[in-house]
Amino acid sequence: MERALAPSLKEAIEERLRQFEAYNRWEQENPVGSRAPAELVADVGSLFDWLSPQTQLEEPDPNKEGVRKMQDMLSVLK
Amino acid sequence: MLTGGLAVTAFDVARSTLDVDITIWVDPDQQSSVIDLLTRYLPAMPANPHEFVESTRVLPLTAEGPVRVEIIFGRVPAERDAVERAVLREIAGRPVRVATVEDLILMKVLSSRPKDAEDVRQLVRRHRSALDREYLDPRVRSLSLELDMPEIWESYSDALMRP
Repeated sequence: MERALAPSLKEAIEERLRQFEAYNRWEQENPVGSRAPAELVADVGSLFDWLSPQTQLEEPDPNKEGVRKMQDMLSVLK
Repeated sequence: MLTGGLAVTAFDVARSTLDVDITIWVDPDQQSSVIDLLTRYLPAMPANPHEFVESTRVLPLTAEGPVRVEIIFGRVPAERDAVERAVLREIAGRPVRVATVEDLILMKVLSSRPKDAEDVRQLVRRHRSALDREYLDPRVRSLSLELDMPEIWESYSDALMRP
């Protein structure tokens, strides 16, 4: 299973990684537009519904960047 | 098939995301007509979508919301395999083709972005017992060796070792 990839495939993957990096750079220069707070809360609610009941009961990991951002945003509601 | 953050969420990992990632496999001679078809329904963000896809393999579209929809045009065989292996998941009451957990991990171990490394860790943690290691391990190792990027195997192994 550890046989070598054909050179052309290796080159194709390397090219693919360069293309992803090019897109990531473009994405950083063109961030996703902002949405209304009510829409964002609805989005989070929809994603929450995708999770299993067991996962829904788990405490969010405060070390995750997204969780920190969300907590910062929600703190203005206190 | 659905990939990216929403696919990770579909596999029971809580994850925020700002866009919808969809990977497709299109024969090269049909790529142009597919881009034309897609941009007929949703506006493309780049001024020249054909040129943009050639250089990035991604077509960013704007859907209602606004929500960004990223159509990823697969090119390497692993992406074609992932599209073929995609599984149906019910999302919001509808069947949606989603990349398998193993293929999501395979795509994400190649990325240098911290959020992709975190996705790998969380997917492994959540699905450790059901993970198809016979499929995944040799492919990750092979990528790591052939691309001369030991960090790929190291970060994958690290995810497997974590509780």
